[in-house]
Amino acid sequence: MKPQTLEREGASPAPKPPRKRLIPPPEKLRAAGLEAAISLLAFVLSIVTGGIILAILGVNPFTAYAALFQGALGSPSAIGGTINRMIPIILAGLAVAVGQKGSVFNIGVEGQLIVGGLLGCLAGIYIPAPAALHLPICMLASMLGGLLWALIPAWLRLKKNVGEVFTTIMFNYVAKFLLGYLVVKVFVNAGGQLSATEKIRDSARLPALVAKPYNINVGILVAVLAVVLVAIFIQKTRWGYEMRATGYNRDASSSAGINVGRNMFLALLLSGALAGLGGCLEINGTVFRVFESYSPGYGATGIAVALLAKNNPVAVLLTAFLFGAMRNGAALMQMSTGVSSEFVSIVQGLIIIFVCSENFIRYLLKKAQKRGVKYA
Amino acid sequence: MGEDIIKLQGITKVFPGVVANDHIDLSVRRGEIHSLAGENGAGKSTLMGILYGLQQPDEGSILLRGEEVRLASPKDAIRHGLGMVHQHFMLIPKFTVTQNIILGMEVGSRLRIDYPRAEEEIRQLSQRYGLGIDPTVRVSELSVTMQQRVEILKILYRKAEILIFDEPTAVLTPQEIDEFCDILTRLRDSGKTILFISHKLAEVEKISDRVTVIRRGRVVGTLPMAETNQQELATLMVGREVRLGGGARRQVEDSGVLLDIRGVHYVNHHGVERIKGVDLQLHRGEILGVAGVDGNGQEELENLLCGKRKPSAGTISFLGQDIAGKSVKEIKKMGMGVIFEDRHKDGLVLDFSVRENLILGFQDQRRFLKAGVFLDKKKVEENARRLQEDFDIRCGSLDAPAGKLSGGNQQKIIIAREMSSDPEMVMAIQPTRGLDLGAVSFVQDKLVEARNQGKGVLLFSLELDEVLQVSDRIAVIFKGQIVKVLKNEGVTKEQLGAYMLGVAQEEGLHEAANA
Repeated sequence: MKPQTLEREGASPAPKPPRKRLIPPPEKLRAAGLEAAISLLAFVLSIVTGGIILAILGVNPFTAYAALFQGALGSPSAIGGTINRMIPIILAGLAVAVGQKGSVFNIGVEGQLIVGGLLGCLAGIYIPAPAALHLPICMLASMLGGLLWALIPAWLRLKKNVGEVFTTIMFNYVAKFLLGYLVVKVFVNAGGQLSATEKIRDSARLPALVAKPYNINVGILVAVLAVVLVAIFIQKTRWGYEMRATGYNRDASSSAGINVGRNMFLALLLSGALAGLGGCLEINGTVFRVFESYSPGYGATGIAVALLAKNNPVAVLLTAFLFGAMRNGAALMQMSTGVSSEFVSIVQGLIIIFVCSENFIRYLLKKAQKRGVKYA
Repeated sequence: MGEDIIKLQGITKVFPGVVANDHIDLSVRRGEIHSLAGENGAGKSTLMGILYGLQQPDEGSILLRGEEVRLASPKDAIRHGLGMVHQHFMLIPKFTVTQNIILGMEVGSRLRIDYPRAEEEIRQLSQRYGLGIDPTVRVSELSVTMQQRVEILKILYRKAEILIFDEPTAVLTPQEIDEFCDILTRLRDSGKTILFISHKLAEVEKISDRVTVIRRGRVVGTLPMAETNQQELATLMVGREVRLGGGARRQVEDSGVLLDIRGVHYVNHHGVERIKGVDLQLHRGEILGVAGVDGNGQEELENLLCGKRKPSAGTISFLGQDIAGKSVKEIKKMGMGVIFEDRHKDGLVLDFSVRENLILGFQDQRRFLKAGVFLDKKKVEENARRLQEDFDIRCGSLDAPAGKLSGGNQQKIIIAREMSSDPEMVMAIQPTRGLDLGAVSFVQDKLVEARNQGKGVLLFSLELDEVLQVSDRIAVIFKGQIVKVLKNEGVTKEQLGAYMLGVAQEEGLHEAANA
């Protein structure tokens, strides 16, 4: 026994000069690997469970999933569709993730996205502007819309300590029914036969990035840019640091002099603005007008996306792709196998359940590690 | 003294990554008070857990009264005449003493509990050992000391011959500790065998017949107390010489008033006045210890000073400026470093890396920023490396989450960070709580170092030993008032204890009884 050397172990030797690393240090990699493994396992478990449900319904799960895959990635137009679908999902997921980083659970992404999309659309219809300016104006309007929709819940949280979970859920309903009223009574299209607004001007439409048959619009670039900016903000800036500190430990943050209330307030507003932008990219990129139920539940999908991505902005890109692909492939699956496209919502719900049973998965992984590869 | 009543042979217990007990041999004689001394994490609790049937050893055997036994659960242990008083009491506050004691061993018929008989039995036990417990009162009405005695009665009622006490004095005041020691002696004299687990050497020295020292899961030695002393035990426990109290002190030239608290009152949101007119001055180059029984207004005073709360009346002037109503951040900027009591709650973001924790609260300072917005990776790294070296933070990698470090190293992160901004004043709240001796002496050294540099150190501590070892002056807080400030010259624990309990107030000082 050499306790002396044992004691010195761990003490740092002469400090190495900090050098640039291309690969993150092993601890980080291992931690990230574990997180990724948990998410992947949750995803696989949901697909398997979904397959069992399909089998119970009397559908061959392999045929159904094959159709889903075909519809998602089987052709250039399918790929393009998947990517276009991804765009609002990325922003919704990013919105939820940013909120979580700052310790607010923004369930109001749906409402903020609806309001943001509406404002972006109205700017696209009613503001005459040159093409170079028109899109930025629409995007700004939508972000402002999302932000405003998050403002009251954020203010209530800051001043009255009202839980944002409740207020933002309520605001989803307000947004939904307000939209219904507005498209029927106020901003009606000329023909009047649809409960929808006019189409937006050509100058407000997102141009194509990749031409037909892919037909991918520029929105994907905007979404990726948003991810990059948010990632930089969170990881590299002092405000991001404060937001993360607040998200991990409010007590330690306030004890260190960080204004926790303000950080949560700002996290919720930022989250709202991102959600609003998501609405705009959907409207100005693919739909071109707002109608009553134009969002197929992007807010809820955003929660699943962020959960699966462990609130990592870059990972949101990946998980949003998964959900975009499923949503896009669902139509073909419905046509060829008769399984309702709402099946995708079931899988989405399963993913949330499995990610939330993270501790169970960790336990499984640990067990697998202990027994070698037997269960892996 | 009798034969070996307990004999542990080659007890080994391995947890993932740690050998908690490494071939431990221990013999306890009938009718002795045998102390088990060791630092936190040395393996004392694991060993007692094994003896009490809470855990199973991987190797080794347990002999009770010369016969090998297998203790699969505490139930087995109790059947063999073992009893344990845990550090955290296991009592139901709404039940009476009797109800608590007989729980699981009710006397009487199937349908009816024979309370009078149980009460009588408990009353007799209490009298025999001088515990002074009324079996009919509710536990919630009892003080901590009395609750501890109920725990003792509980195991005596179960006919225990061997009594194990796990850090029993942690919750007691000095007077209460004296009484507690008397009780232990009485128990021993009536033939009980006592195993006393502690890392407080003063008590170990006072009551033990023999002491076994454990370090890193191994027995370092068993000594008759008459042949050893505290200093030797400390050296055995740590494995090298430790010196508590922080070492050499220098007189500083400028000993001006740094912090001036005048007539401060604080009424909490329930309308209860928790601070009732505190006057206190902290000078440069001194360590002012604030002693008191927990819950006499320390927490409120700490929060007032660091900016978490605003006083209802009075002024707190720090460096000549009134800080009443200033934010935590502003006060921090003025030069107050705070070592909070709860490392995990207030001191660290456990999910953050060591590197990130070392700038917590300073992330907005120009020295860590590029363009005023971006954290400068290089400077953050330099800061972390420098502090890691200066404060000997052992963390393997600076990327490791702070939550993965030992308590001592976590505390080093906090102290390193708070000292790194060269503050004028340091407020240290229970800075050595839960640390092992090596880390305790490190922390105390740093406090004295700060004092010698001409900073003011305000030390809140519930450990009187620490207050007496480290402070230049001692203020005693009682019921929201500073009832006494004394120079730390020839002050005894008993004197302090008397002030802490409000029994030794001087005439005309304060009225403390209007709570």
